[in-house]
Amino acid sequence: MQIPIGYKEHIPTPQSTRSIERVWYFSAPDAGSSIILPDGRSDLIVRFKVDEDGLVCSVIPIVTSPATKPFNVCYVPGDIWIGLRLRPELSGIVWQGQVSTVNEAYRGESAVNLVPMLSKIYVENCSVSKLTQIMTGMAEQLGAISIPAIALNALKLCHVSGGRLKVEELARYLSCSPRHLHRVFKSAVGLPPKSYAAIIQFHRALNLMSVDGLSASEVALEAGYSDQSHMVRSFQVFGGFPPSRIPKNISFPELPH
Amino acid sequence: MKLGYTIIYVENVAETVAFYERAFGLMCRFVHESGLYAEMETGETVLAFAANEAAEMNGIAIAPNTKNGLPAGWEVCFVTDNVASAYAQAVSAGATPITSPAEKPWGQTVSYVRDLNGCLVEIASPILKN
Repeated sequence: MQIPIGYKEHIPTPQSTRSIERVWYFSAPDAGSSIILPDGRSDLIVRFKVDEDGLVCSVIPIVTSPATKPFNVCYVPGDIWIGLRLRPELSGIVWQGQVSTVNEAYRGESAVNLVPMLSKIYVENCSVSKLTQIMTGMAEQLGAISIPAIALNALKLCHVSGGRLKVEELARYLSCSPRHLHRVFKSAVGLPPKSYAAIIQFHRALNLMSVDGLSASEVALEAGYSDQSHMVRSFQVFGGFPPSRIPKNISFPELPH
Repeated sequence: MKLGYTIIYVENVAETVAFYERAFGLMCRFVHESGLYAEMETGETVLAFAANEAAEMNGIAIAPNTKNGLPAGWEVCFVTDNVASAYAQAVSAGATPITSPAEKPWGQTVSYVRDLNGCLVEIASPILKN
């Protein structure tokens, strides 16, 4: 598995205070395509090019909704992206309660209509570093919004348990009913807890297989799949490939904590 | 190989350290600047606490400890000559009492509490060697 050349990302601030999970940057060196794996999060993205003077041009704002399916991105040399991968609990706010919107991307005007602060990226004579500043500044505003503790704690539990806790178990940990958890979680994250946990579980399994080199049967057991065919189905749904054929050109968002 | 560490994953490392100091009279010997890891002064085999979120960083998945749920099937055991007073101190510091000090047929006094995270802690007297 390899990250495409030209892709980099960094973690901006400590977890407890950050609204952004990652700031990522991709500058396409060659024409190509990448499979982006779903991570259940929304991104605020700006796609652009740079003119002869090093200034930003051809700016397109993009807002993506929580992804639950892999998708393919094609690019040509000169295409550049700056993206803010938001904390999962911010999707509901970004998508303004359109909680059933998944695997969507709004571009240009519709993106600005959805997230009005994206209009700040249209600046005359803007350098790439200035644009990066504008983007990270926007995410800090999102961080000020308060999220129900049940949604935040449920997200933590999903990550700590590698997505192995069932909704009923999560609810027991949080001393609330599964129904209440489902509603609060979905309105913050944009996905039901079950789907989010399944994405975490898939990423952990993928890591165990491709990074740690465990066999398929070992991975199925450790990742908490009931059997290997259950794991194969999960790989097909979230990756579009079986565990035996993990493609080389997938972009592998490090799922942080 | 030797047993070097017992590391318990907890919700809040700082609170857990403070609790173990109060309830069991331990001293803290190291806190990582991230606040995600701390070690207690327990001699050669270190009792340490790591934040739950550190589990994911380490690539492992865990069932988090919880105050209300069934405790995980393992425990730490502190040994003291005066079980009754150690048990009373733990409970007054906020440990949940489970079984009060009782003498076992083999001559050992044994009691159990659960810590602030719901983990089982045994407080017992040393086993006397004949």
